[in-house]
Amino acid sequence: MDPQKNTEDEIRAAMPALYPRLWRYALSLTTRRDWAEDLAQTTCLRAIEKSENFESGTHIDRWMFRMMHNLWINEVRKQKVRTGTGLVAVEDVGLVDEKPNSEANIFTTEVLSAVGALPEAQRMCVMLTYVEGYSYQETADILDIPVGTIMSRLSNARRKLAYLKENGS
Amino acid sequence: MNTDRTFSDDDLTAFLDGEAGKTLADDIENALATDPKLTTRLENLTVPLDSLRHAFDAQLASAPPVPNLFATNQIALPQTIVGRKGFWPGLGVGLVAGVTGAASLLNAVQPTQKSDGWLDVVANYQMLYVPETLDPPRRSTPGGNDRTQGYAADLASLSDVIGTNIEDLYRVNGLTFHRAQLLGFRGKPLIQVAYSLPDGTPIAICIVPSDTAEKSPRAQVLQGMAASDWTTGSHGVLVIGGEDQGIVNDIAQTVMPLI
Repeated sequence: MDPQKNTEDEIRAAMPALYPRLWRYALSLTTRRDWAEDLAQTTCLRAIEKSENFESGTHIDRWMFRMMHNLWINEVRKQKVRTGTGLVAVEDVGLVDEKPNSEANIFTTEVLSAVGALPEAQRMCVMLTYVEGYSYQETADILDIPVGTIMSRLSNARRKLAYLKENGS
Repeated sequence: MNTDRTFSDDDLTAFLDGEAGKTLADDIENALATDPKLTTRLENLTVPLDSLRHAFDAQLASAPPVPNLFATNQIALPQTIVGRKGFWPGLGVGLVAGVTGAASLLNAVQPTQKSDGWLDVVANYQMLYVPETLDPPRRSTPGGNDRTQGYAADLASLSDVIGTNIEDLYRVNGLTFHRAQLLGFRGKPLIQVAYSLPDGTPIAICIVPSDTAEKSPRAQVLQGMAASDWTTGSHGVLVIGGEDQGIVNDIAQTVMPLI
């Protein structure tokens, strides 16, 4: 059987569970729903195109997160930055539940805004480590940076996010 | 001993995350028993991670559906741009519904070559096409005249947008028509008409407004694909796809009188 077909099938099979997570990470990178969808879809197309590079039986999720990261850093972000569009308030992203402002909803908004306000490098680490649950080493592999850099970015991020515990604990 | 100075914030972060080695973790544990400053520092690095995860997990429910390109035995670009606010206002709803995620992908794909002109951007996008990317061809079928008329109407609407008549692009000898899309490049409309050759090779004809003086077709290779571009004095046109320059040149000659 064609090995590329095998890996392509493996990628397809993983998508229903993986795609929402990819989109969520894309949203954290781009801070915009439309761009996030663009990036997630482009990543999927690229994954199909490069399926022969995927090593069967290894972690598809990490492979695709890395692919998305590289796509964002090397190709897409430059163009998006040229458009001059900056960060968008989390309310404008349209992800906040618009039901009456319960305390929990207010806190969710606060959390999303706080993470969204982090510098991109810290935000990537927070998303991959704290939201996606990757270890330092796995996050370092995805971002292609040393583990020490992950630690440093996370400690900086923690200092900025620490105020949340007053409401979240 | 002032153990507070012994540990960096990175150390404490690793400790909080369960990533500190055993020796470091033991040292911090021991120091915490006697050093209130260290306890304060640790508290200042403490984040409600469960709440944070919960907030982001709630986002998953808002995720768009998995693109169609992952449907079994089918690769087709999803229609994500449908209804996007502010995108080419004034277009009819039906026409907007015909614009697919490809438009947004075009904006997403950054040209890798030195020039960032529209030819390279289109080439970067076109290189992602595989035969399965295109929907089943939109052929005229018995009893399917309404559909055919619908595609012609789409091309007529796109003609208004691009400022030149492209209605005849529905039928190009040797090519199977798949769809016409409104894309955008630097604030200007860009029409992509997607076809396939009999062997399935994707071919695209792209048109942008351009005030460049009229130029004859120029054969070139873009991103490894055969291409031919020319300008009419009011528009730039690109034919691109596959590796057979002869076929692309022939298509260019066929299409020139149609635009």
